[in-house]
Amino acid sequence: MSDTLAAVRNLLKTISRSYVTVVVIALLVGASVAPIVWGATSSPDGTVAVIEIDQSITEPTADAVAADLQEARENESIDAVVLKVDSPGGGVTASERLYLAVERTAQEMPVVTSVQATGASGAYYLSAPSDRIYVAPSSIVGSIGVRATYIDAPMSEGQIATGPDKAVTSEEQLKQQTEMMKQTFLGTVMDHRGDELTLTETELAYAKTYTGTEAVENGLADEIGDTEVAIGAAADRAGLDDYDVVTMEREQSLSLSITLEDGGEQPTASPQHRPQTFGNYGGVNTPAFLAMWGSISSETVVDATDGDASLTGVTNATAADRGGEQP
Amino acid sequence: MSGGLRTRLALFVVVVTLTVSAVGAAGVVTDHGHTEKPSVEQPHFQPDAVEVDDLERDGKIEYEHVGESKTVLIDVAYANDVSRADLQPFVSALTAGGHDVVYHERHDSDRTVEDRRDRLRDRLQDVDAYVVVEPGARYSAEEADVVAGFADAGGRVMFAAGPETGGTADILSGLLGLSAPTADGEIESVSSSVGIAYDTGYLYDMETYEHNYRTIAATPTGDAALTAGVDRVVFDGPTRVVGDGPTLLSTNPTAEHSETREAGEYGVAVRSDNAVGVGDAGFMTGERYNRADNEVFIGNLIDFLVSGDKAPGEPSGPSDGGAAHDELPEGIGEDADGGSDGS
Repeated sequence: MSDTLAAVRNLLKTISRSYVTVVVIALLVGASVAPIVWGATSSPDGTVAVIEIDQSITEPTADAVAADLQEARENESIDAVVLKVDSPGGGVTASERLYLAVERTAQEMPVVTSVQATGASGAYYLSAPSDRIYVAPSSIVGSIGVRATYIDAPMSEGQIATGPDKAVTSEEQLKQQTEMMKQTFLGTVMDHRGDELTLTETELAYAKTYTGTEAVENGLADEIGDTEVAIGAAADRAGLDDYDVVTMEREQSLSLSITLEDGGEQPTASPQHRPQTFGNYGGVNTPAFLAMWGSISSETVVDATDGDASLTGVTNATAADRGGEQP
Repeated sequence: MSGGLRTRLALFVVVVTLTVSAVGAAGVVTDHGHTEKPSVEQPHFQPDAVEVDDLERDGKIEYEHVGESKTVLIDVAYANDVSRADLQPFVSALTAGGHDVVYHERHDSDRTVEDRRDRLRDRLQDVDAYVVVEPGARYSAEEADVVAGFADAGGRVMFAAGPETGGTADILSGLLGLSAPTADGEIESVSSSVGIAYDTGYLYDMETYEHNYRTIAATPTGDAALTAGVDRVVFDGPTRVVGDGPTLLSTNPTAEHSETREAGEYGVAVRSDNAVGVGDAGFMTGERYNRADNEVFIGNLIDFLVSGDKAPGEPSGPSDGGAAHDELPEGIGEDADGGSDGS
């Protein structure tokens, strides 16, 4: 019995001292570590995240885009962001929020904007802090201004208020507030694009829109290029030779229609999001401040900070009808 | 036995302590995560970067010709886009100065152009001054002739209208059987008879404005009595007015025309003999009458209206046919060069 044990012990000793055993164990260890080393040496250097802003900017869409940007900042595998913008803008506050989120992201990593058909008003607002703005020749950018809806409805009978301005904002005050928002918007654009712009602040305040070609000339955009060019530029800025491209997925479609006050198309409510109605809070109508280019059905914009922002159907029709020469 | 148990217990405690310490240390060493606590430090987002002044507001309407009672007729018969409340400061000042204010309203018996013309003439014969604010329906040539006759006889006339005339007024005027609804030119259909023409479009200024690009100031162009004591009058998107008399107020040279986009010093208040035309009506409302020197200008306008010397019983007799005043063609551009021929 003890002889058998001694034989086994000797055998094990011999095996443990054998070169073959060492080689086999080394191969096993090497095989398990090799994929990690392979991955580290041959996989892409990093990732460029593409975040789409492809509708008007409402609070729900701003929530989703801001969350994507936060994810980009926190996810260490993301090295650069491309904003794929196709939007006429939206609410002033939602646009300001996204501006702040984009600027925050741009402080941590390269952010490049690729404008599709439209990057106007609030959509330009959020694009302003990008390192580069790429446009197509036919893209529409600009419309730097704010407009507001004004409800000229005195407090209804049977109510008591503690001050004359409790229920409604006067037209004059609304104009002042709109002007303040315009100054912030304009100041933001000048701050980020002032060095590139050939337009003066006053020229910008007309809130005119420009084609991509014009925008490259006047400094509102940097270069003509599509989204692939923008992605390449973002990767370049992040120092990535080899990179992955990830399009940030949204949990659900956020396509909500927009309405103002209590008129217009009714929004399609989704269970997760309060429908965005700009100035209509469940039966309570307030002035709506918009950084938006284009007209909205049933919109009654009475005030704007510039000569070009009011593009409502009614206003346009009236202006067109008036045509004719001056005396 | 107890010694063995103690040893085992000590070993257990040591192992547990070492394990927990090692995990804790590993956590500290490997912890690179942090939760964002962002702040907003953008200077252009701070209150200091925004500056919108309140409009200066004080003063009351004062004028010289107080006590000698004159009668001022305010025309509200042409679907005028003005409520009596809009003119309250103006009317109150007139009344407080001992003058009478009467209104010319649409009447059910006004079935034909001649009816309306005759009734307007009847009203004008009894008054000393005539005020037309934001008409929403056009005057017929015969009615315009009556107004011209009134001004010729020494009656004072004031027109005030901005670029916007209500679309509903056009529909209403059609329903009421007034002259055919038109897109524009309502004020000009009567003002041109006394040599005052209204432009289309509004004026704005992107360089110098109050709190909105359309809220702009106009300054006196000369030493006319109508602008005595006035430094600046603030209008909201006024329309350009031209006349065959002196321009009273004009905009800054940086003001632009909404349609041509040309910059220039546009006249927004003119005088033509016994008539005065202002390219805005909103400057007289309770909300705006005391902005800048608006109240001084309104006082001067009242002085002008009540200091006329109209011949008694004028304008008299039926019109001679009004051949000089065919219905204004569509658009007012063609008529904008005056047309005081009807006087």
